[in-house]
This record gives sequence, C-alpha cells and structure tokens, in this order.
Amino acid sequence: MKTVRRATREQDIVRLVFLLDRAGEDPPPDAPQTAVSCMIGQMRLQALDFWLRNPDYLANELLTEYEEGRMGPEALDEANTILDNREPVIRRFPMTRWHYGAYEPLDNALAMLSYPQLVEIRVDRTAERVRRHIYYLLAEGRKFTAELLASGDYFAWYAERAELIGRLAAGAGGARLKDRQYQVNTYGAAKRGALIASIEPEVRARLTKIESEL
Amino acid sequence: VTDFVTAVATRAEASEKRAEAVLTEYGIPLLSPRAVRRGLTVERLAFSGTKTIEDRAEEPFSFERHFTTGVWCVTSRRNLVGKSTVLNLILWALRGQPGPLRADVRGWLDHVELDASVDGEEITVRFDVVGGSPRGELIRRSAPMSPLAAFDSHDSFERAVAGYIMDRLRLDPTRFWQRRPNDPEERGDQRLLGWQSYATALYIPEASFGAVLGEQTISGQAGILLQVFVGVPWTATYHAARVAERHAAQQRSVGQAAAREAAQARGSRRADLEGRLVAAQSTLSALSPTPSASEIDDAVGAYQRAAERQGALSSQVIDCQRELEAANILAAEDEQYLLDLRETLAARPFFAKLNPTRCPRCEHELGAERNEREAQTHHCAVCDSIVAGQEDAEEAAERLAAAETQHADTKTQAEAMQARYTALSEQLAAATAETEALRREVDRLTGQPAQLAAWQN
Repeated sequence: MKTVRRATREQDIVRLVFLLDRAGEDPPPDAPQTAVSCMIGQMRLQALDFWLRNPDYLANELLTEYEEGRMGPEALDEANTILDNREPVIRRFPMTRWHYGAYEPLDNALAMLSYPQLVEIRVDRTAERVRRHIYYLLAEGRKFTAELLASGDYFAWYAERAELIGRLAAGAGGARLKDRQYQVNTYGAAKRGALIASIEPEVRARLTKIESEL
Repeated sequence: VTDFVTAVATRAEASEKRAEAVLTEYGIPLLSPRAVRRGLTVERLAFSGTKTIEDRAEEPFSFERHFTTGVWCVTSRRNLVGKSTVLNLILWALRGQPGPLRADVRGWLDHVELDASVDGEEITVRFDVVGGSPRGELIRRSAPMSPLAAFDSHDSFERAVAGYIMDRLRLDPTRFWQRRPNDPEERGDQRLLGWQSYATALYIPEASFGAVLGEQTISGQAGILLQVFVGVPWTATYHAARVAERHAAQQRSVGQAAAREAAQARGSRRADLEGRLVAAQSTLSALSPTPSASEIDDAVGAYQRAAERQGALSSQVIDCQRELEAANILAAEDEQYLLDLRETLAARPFFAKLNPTRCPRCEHELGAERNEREAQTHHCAVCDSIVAGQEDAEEAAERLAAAETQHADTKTQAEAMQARYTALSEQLAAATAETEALRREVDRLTGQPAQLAAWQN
C-alpha cells in the first residue's frame, strides 16, 4: 500500500458510537440524566478501538481467552468468522504506536458526537489530580445507532464486534487492556512512531494448532 | 611279551610289528610283572602338641606307641578322644597329604614321627607342624642309614613319600577313564591313579564319606585298587588298553562331528554362493548392454533440455508469485476503498441531520440564527469558514459505481493471476519430476562403476 489507510470521519464516528453503545457499562447514579451507558477512561476507549480497527489482534485475543479458560468454544467460532471474512485485510485500519501504545486522537470524532448531544464527555479530577475522561452515551446516541442499523446492512458489523469486544474487556481497566495488547510480540516490539504490523499469519497458525488438538 | 603282542595281532588281523607299534604308541604295558608280596608295616607312631580350645586351659599332649606284628585295634570308652586322629596321622605320614585329618587337630600338633618297614627297609618319617604345614624329612634307618628326602610343604612331602614308596613297592600308576560330569555327549578324560589312591586301598572311611573303599566314589576305582593291592596279573595293561580304546572312540566321534560340521558349513557356503550367483546373473541381465556413445549423448541432451525447461518455469513461477502478491494487494486496496466509501456514504445523511446546538470548544449555545445563516450564506455555523458544497447524491452514486467497477476489475485480475500461478506451479512440479527421471537415466547409463560396486557388495 502506498499510503496508510485512514478511516473517514464518518467511520471514526461510527466506531466510537458503537463502542460506547455496545461495550460500555451501566451509568452510575451521578451520570447525566439521559445517559444509557458509560465508559471510564480514554485509555480504555483507545484500547477497545484498537481491537475494532485490528481484527487480527481481536482474533488473537479470542484465542488467548479460550486457552486460558475464560471463554468457551464460541471464542474459536468468532475467531474463525473473523479470519474467514478476511476482516484482518478488509477491515484493518493500522495504528501508530506511541509511548502508551496505540493512540490516535479521537477529539474531532468525539466532538462530532458531543455537540449534537449524542455523547457527553466529563473530565474527572480525583484527589491525586489525575484527569480521567468519562464518556456517557445519551439516549439520543442510542437512537442514532438504532437508526444507523435500520438503514441497511453496513453497520451491523460494528454493533456485533463492539459487543464482542465489550465481553472481552469486561472487568478490566484501560491499563490492564493495554498490558494484554502489549503481550502480543508484534505490538510490544513495534517502535514508537511505527505502524503496528499485522499478525494475521500467526493467528491463523495458532488457530489451526488449537483446532488440531481438540 | 611275544604272547601278548601275538594275541593282539591275531585278534586284530594285523602284523605283530604293527600291533606292537600301536600298543607302544598308546602306552600300553606289554608285560605283566609277576605278583610279589610287598610289605608295608607301621611300627611306631609318636606325636605331640598342645590342645587349645577357646575358653579352656591349654592342654599339652604327647603320644607314642610301638606296634608289634599283628592286628591292632584303637578303642576307647569315650568318643572324641582321638581314635581317628591316630589312624589319620598314620595316613598323613605315609601319603604326605593330611587328607581327612581335622584342621583344628592339625593346628594343635607340634611334631609327628612314624617308623615303618617298606618292603623290608626301615624308614622314619618325621616332621614338625608349623602353621598347619609339615616341615621334615624321610630317613632310611636300615644300613646304610641316610636321609632320603626333605620337605617343607604338603606337595613336597607327598612327592617325597610317594616317590619312595611307589619305587620301593614297584608300583606304577594305573590309567583309568573318568567321565565328564553332566556331559551330554558322555565324553571323558584319561586319569591316573597313583599313591594317593593306592595308600587308601584298605582304608575304610567314615560312613558319611560315601565310598566303601578309598576316598573317591568314582565308578570302578575301588575295583582297580583291589586289583592293584591283590596283584591281579595284567591289571595295568587291561586298564591302559581300556582307556586307550575309549580315548580313540571319543577322538573318532569328535572327528566325525567335526567332519559333519565341516560338511554342513561347506553346504551352506555353497548355497550362499549359488544364491549370490543367481542374484548376480539377474542383475547382469537387468543391465542393458553397454550403452553406446550416441545413447549417452541423447540421454544427456534430453536431461539438459528438461533441466532448462525446469529452470525457465521456476523463474516464471517466482515472477508470477510476485505479480500475484501485487494483484492481491491492489484488489484488497480497492475492496477497502469500496467499503470505506459505502460506509461513509451510508452514514453521511445521518450526520447531515446532526445540527450543532453548542460550540464543541467552549460549549456555548449556538442559537438558531447561526444555523439559518449557514444555510443561506454557506458560512459554517461553528467556525464561520465557507462550507464547500455537499456532494450530491448523483455524484456520490457515480463515485460508488466507479469504485465497484474498479474493485471488480482488480478482483478478476487477482483471480486470474491466482489461476495462472496454480497452473505454473503444477507445470513446474511436472518438469522437476521429469528432470529427475532423466537425470537418473543418465546416471544409469554412465554410472557403471557405482553399479558394479553395488552388485559386488
């Protein structure tokens, strides 16, 4: 590829809104009145976005979940679907590795969601003066994703993958998710400023090995 | 002499000269000495020492007895007082080996002396016992009185007395045949009975010993001892002949067995050689006649052409693989672009409806008039920049159609390239196999020395 594939503004927004809709948690009592879901921490949102943009890493994580007994055979089915549909090629949006891992500024896309009040972003300052972003999906945001899904077949994939990623990430904070992603050699070894390379062939080989031992 | 040799020659239907030669060769005595009376009389026994038993006081002892002519009995009211010791000491002094004498008793002894008359000659055997071993001498007391032999071990003691007594009594060792124990072919060996056995001829051992006469339970030995003792004529000749006969028979059967084995070995060697001959002949017939130079040239030419074809195909496959990879990347890029376009166009109408209600920077309410102004003057409601005209539906549809066509084209190209790559790979595999076969043919035609070596092996 001559130039690195970049998602369009619309695609960035669609990814984020589906992640907040399907991979979030129930809003706490002090959430905005119309909040239907929330996600705590920018690092967590970045980490989940990385899996949505790199289906090979998502499939790899599913195999790890299976091997470590946190998920059953359905993890293998999901990984097979991802590879059979060539998602690591067709749906991959490479990310650059920065100091704290894969990162891409999401401010513009989030602004597009926040000014029409589909999403509300609050910045939390704790006693230790650590800033923490909290993303709330508002009722209008959920209506928005429902309209996208009703418009045709294009967005069902985002809903399904975001939901799967939500299951994978349940209970883990952003830093722990980053650690899990770092454990993949290719990701951990990527130089700062370089694209995180595809691991599709390794994942295919790993799945074949797991299935041959069933 | 003549009578015995003549009798043998007659029975064997051979010349007397031949019979004598064979008998001599096998060491068979041709004479039987006339039986003569040979006297051996024990006249005095004396011994002394110290009886040492653990936890009991040492008990020095000393014994001396002269035996006059006649039969003597050794008796006692009690057991374990040394009756057997008296007899066993007489035997030790006459044979040189302690034999059945108890080892502890031997350890108590300091000195032993025995006077005897051997075929009329008076002798004395006297020795000290040092650490269980004898050290002493054999003396002739008859005139002229002289020492006959000195000894300092069991063996030298035996040689001294046995040599003197056998010579004095004109006794020869008797040959006998002893079977090897548990030998399946019942083979045996030639043995000699000498003074050690002769001396026990009239010695009746303890019941637990197992032998009636003598010390050994070997079959036939007691008979030999009696024959020697009594002086039966031809005893030595008879036993020597028997041993020679058994020995010869055994040699014959060993020879026959060896011959059988040799014949078997020859037979299997022959079968082996015949088998190898058949194999060699079939190898030879499988080999085509010596190939001519033109045959070799043709084969080498065919091989070279096949190898060139293989090489050419190999580089085509490599090129094709590279092109296939490029085509796949191109098709994937077009597919990605198509997907991006479809998703973007599908999402766009929803975003167009999302009118900002407040500034995303400062969160100020924008108010309705800003949105109205944007619609009329094409100035952005948020940043006031001029808004480029939105792509209309028709343009978008054209762009989408172009992307679809483009994707269909590159996908078709990639598929065609994949088919070409598969076909070329199959051709390469076939060409490789053909080249290998032709190479083997060249090897076969030109590789005679190697084949010859393999065949000889």
